[in-house]
Amino acid sequence: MRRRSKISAVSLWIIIVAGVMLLIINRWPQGQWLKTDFYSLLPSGSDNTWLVRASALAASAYESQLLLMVEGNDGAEVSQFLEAAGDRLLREGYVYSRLEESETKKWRILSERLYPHRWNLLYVGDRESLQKNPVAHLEQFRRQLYSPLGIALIGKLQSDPAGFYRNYLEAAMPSEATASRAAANGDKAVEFAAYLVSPQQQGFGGTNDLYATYLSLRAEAEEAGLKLHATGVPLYSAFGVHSAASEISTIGTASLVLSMLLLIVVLRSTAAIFLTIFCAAIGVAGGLLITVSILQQIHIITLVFGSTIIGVADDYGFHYLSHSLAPDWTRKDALKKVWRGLSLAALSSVVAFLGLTLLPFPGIRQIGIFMAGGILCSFATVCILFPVMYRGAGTGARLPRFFVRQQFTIRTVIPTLLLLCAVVIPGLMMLQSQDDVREFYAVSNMLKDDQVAISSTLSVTPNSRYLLVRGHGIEDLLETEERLMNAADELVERGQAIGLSGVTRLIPSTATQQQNFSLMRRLVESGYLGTYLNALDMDSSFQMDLLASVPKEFRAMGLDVLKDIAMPLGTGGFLGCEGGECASWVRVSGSSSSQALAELIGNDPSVILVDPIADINGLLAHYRVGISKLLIAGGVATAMHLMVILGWRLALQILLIPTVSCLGSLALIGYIHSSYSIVNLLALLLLIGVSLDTAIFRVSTDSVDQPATSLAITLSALTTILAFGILAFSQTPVISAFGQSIVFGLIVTYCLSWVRFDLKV
Amino acid sequence: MRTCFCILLYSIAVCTFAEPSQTLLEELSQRLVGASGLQGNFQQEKNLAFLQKPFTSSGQFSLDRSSGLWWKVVSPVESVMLVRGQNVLLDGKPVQDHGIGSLMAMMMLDLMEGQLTSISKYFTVTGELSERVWHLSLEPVSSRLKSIVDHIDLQGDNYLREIVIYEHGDNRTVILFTEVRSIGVGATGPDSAAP
Repeated sequence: MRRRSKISAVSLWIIIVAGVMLLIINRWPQGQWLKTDFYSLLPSGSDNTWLVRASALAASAYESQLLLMVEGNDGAEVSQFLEAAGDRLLREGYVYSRLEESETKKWRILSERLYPHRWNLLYVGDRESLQKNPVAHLEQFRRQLYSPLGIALIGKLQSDPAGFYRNYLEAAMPSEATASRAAANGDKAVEFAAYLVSPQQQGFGGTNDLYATYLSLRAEAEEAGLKLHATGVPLYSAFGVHSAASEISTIGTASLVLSMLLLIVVLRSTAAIFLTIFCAAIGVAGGLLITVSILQQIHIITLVFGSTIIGVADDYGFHYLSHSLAPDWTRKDALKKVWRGLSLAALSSVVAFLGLTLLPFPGIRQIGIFMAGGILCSFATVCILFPVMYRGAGTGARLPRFFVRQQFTIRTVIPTLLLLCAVVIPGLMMLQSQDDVREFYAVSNMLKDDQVAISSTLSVTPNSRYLLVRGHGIEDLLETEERLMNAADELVERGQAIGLSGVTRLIPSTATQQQNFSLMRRLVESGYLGTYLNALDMDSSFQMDLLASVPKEFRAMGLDVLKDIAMPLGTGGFLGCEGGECASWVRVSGSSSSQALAELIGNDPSVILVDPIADINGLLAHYRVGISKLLIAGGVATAMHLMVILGWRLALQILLIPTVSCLGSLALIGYIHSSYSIVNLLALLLLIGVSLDTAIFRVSTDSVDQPATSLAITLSALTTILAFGILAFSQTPVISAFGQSIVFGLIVTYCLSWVRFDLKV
Repeated sequence: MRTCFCILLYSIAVCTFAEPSQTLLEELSQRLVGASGLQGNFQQEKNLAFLQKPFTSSGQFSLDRSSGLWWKVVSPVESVMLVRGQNVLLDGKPVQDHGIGSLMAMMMLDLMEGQLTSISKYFTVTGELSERVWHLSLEPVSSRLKSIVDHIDLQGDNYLREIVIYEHGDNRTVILFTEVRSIGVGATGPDSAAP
């Protein structure tokens, strides 16, 4: 090819890329464009802003906690081992603080902030008792002081003579807040300690293996005759990273090396390998940039699944490169030979994937645009760059004789196809949907057992639910939350195991503060408080100072008191005010059913029960149903598009392969797992892309070039199986489901690609 | 030479005054009168800077495994505390314990029965036994107990006679027991049970 036309083609590609980049830069979002939270996958609505904030705060309470429990016969040994385990975790940088120390510090700071306003703060039990009979209430407290129970209270008499402030803070403290305690478990001594895991050690950013350290500590405990149990989100993540890392390093390396070897052996051209990799990379990068510039954001899940576009993008490169092994190949006519197949395949795939944008789910729209955009970029790269950059196959490279063989006619494979139908139908009938996100990730049996042991010893029911409360202004919000708290307290008195912790446990509404203050003033003015202090034989000057310190005028305490301090765990929190609406989140604890909580909320539209796991599962179910419908609708749209271009016979011939491949894949999943989830359907998106390309390449190639197309199809199938199908062996259920769906479907696609229908474009 | 002598003296001191806690507790459990129940009188005193007089109370107590610890304050104001397992009642109503009530009940039950398992489980124990009296110093091992008390001193002969609870800071509470007698089957002294 002449040097001038080569430079022109490369320049054209660069100009196109530069032009697209300019458009993208112009539209690029200013803020955070990579989303990781679950709620950004939801259709937009006014609740979303509050839900995103509340979910982040609710999750942060536990996502960095690591809980250790040690049990044994000797309390001193148990305590020493636990301390040594904690020291090791601190020394090796996995944790940075004991939870108890961190929480004690937070409560101390909070207590100091609220103390100047103590005359506005009364525990509801104290308030009711003071309203009924203040003398009896104060006398009851005095009796408590003289009993052994008073030993812990007497030291604080100077700052809190009637125990009101202490009772208020204790009531505000969530019942499960502290995790450091000693418990009696039969004859065994049991101790707990909770730690905060360093952010650097969480998730894939962690550089050291927390899970391996946990195993090591367990072994040490066993040698010492003790038992160590551990639980916490960071440990579960560490297990996931631990198992994924080993899979990535062995499986990923093996598949990459095998793919490269395959290309080297067949094409014997380093340019071919470079161009194939470059084409796939352009597909991924193009998909990402186009999606973000159009939709202003992309979710990490879209990025992960969208990257499977590699399996489709390299098809175009393989089709072009494989034809270079044909005896009559020339560089000048190379593109012309494959143009029809490439363009039809690209167009059909883009139409199919753009159909996903019709659904109202941001995640599915993003996948649709990512795939369509990426395919167009790869297609453009093959059409513009490959003709100028690729000179042909290396010396000695030739089309393997295997691919010169004739294809099977449809008549000879009809019995096989009928048998296939007989096998597929029962498999499909065995399928049941599975939308529980907890089934997606791997958890070791050891961690599961530890969780059960800790939960039963602590008598704690894990609860990720919370209430989202909204109001027209701060006061309305606080009063709504207080009504909720009062209703919950009544349910507790009726025997329901329900606990609510919200910002009003710390900062009551102005009306409640006024009520409390009035009660305090009445205690002073009536002389009851003075009489009580006298009965305690308190110094007279101390008495006078104390009574004078009670303010004469009421002054409300606002939420700004909590400004710039870290809230203790489990206290719920204020989310802010926007557009005339204020919101807060209220933590739910206890084993209360959703029905009990629904009864608590009643018909109040300003309160929503949020169950993150149920919400995620519900969303997965919606997405699954949406993708199922879209797969069918996309198939119909592609069929109509192909019918218009090629006629109905060829269109049906083309669609036979992706249809049978998808059904075959699902049927095999049905036989093996009896259930399918959204992950299987997302795998079908990739499968459809590859199998549609396979079918189009087949029907759009002349008989003399069919062997080259057979090679291209084989290379595509083998590299895609190596890259993704090998994931079928992963220990992580979500990854193995994805891999199994792809490999089963690709095997069916490849087998069907050898069937000749005697119809040509 | 002088150094060796000092080391020898120190070793003797350590052996005499800091007996291994397991041996100490075994010897003590043999000395204590094992009983199924106890009753007696108490006097509790606490000194605080901002009070004109010590914070003092006195009354009666009764203890057995099934009924728990019954603690009646007679002076200066009447009240009844009952500790049974993890349940603590004051004048018939449940109250927040903060750890002290159940801790006292656990220690007293252990010493009453001469079985010192709970004490050894939750505390590091040092002390000394002389011919007539014994003295123990208990240091909590768990952080939870450490947050409640700094350490506890116990003293007695055949029965527990004194508890001194040292809290963080300079506060301490002294509880003295008098007229202590066993109750129940085989007990010496009056058979009066707790009301």
